[in-house]
Amino acid sequence: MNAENSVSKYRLMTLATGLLILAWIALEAMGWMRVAETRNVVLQQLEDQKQFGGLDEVGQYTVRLKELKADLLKADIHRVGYFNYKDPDQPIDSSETWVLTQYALAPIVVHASKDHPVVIGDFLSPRAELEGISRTKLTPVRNYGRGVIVFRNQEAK
Amino acid sequence: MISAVIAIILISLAGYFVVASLLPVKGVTGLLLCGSLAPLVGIGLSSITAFFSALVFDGLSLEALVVDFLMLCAIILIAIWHTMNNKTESVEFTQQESAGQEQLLLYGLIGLVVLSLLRSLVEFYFHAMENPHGWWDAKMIWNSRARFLFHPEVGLSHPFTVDPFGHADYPLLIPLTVTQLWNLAGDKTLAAPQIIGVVFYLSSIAMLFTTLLILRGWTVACFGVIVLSQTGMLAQQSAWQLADVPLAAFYLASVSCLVISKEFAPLKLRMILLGGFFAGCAAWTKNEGIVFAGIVFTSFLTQFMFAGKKENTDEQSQNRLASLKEAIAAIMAGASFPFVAVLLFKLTLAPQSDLADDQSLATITAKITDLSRYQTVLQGAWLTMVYPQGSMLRALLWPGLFMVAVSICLGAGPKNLMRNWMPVCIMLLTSLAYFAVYIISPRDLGWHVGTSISRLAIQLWPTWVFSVLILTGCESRPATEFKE
Repeated sequence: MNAENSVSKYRLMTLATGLLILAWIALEAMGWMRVAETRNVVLQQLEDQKQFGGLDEVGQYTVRLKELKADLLKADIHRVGYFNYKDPDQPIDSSETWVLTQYALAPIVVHASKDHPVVIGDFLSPRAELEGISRTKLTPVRNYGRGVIVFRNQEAK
Repeated sequence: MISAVIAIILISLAGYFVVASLLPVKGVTGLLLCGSLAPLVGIGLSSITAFFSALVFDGLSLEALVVDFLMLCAIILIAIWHTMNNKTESVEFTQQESAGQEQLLLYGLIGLVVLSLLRSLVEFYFHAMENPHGWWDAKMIWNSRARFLFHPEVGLSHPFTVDPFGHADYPLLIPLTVTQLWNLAGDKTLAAPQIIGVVFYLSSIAMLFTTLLILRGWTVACFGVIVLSQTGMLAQQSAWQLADVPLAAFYLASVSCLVISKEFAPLKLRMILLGGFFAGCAAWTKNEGIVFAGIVFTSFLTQFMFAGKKENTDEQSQNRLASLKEAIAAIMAGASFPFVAVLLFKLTLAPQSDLADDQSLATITAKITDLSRYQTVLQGAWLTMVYPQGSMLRALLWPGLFMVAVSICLGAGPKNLMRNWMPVCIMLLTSLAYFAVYIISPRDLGWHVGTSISRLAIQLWPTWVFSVLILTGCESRPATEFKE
């Protein structure tokens, strides 16, 4: 009776071990599929970045805002307003471009509001730039190129 | 890159000295335990000393960095002095020997662990390439704030005076650690936050392995590593520099130290002290950690009060009371250092939490009675389990099912649950607390759940794995013998 129990226990253990190994193989296969998927995304990103000189989104913003950042720090300005104008037909959506601007301009605090003496206009297309300048009541001070324009808000303190 | 690596090694070494002075353990398992806890202790301590210095000097100026360095040196010297003068006999964990076929199976299992780990590191690498500056939250919160702290001339309170960021009320463990690595490296290298990501990822795996090895032996420890390294979302979120992985590591460290304190009497108070410290560090990492710390203290003390047989005599009753007082003192002492930092941060710098916006008793009551909100949260949780980010490949369901199968095969049962209810209870209460916060959230619930629930799942995941796997074992005793 004991021998029979021991044999059936052994069989059960072998079966469990086999099933666990199969499960591990399935998990590992999914793991390699994830690796392949992520690798393809990375390769596509690198391909897309070629047209921007190999720079990613953060790199592009850093380059666009480099001169402006240096000027603001030189003028001891550590707080600015911000608005963008991706597409004149769309309402202002500051979240994505604002985060990238804030990240690139730190330690300057960038507020997603025009209620500041110095305001950065961030335009991602020439059409948006023209529309943005004509519609805003702010006074353009300097065009830094690549869609970055600094405005002065006379009404803000 | 190299200077950032050296910096994190130095911080971890500081942590190692402190852990080694607290835990008089020897042998390979003892070394593994100290080694896996060291980076967490080092990062926790150094970020707190940096915060105190920054607070005094209004930013991490050169003077603040010197004072911070001196404080760390003082902690290391005290730890070394304590280790040298420690009269307590060192203790060693020894595992039960396995032989023949069992040993062969173990070698096979170790092979699977190595393969899984290597693949998960490849996965980590590609995710780090995918988002070298980190994912949305890393850019918007953690690394952005580190960029402010790296410039002491603007003042410590500068980014907090008006709330320009989401979650400006989140504590500073991660931003300060990134800033420290940048200061030691001399520039804002992208490698610093990536290294922090990989350190917390590997520490979580090493900690799970070591604590399960001590409590349940080689087999369970190896399966624990396999489950974590097969969790795609964990590698992804570590590489994307999200603070949820460090938080997960602190959760796991706190709960596992408290479980070890229960199993090994000679290390009891020291492990409770560490458990309290890690719970405090969780609170110093993210606001969710404050809720977790409260749940840990309550669950631990409840378990402490109701553990063991009922005392028959006054003497036994008094002993129990004395023991309870000691445990409370140890857990409070451990948590006090990080909690002072949290308190000072909240009182001096942090704005009000955005979760408190537009909240009143009437709006909260309306939300609690709105059943559709429960449905939204449960649907989000289900999607994270089976179809996160539109892909079944990252579903938590698969490693979860594997973990449950392993537990059943290794004899997990209700008997062990009765003995080890504390970790499960902590995890259930923390999950419930997260659920409740969603229900009363002032934000658009669909957006809130969609953007955060997978990160909350990862915060809890390593500790859930630990909590389930320690339910294994035919007999309710640790696989490790404890030699004095």
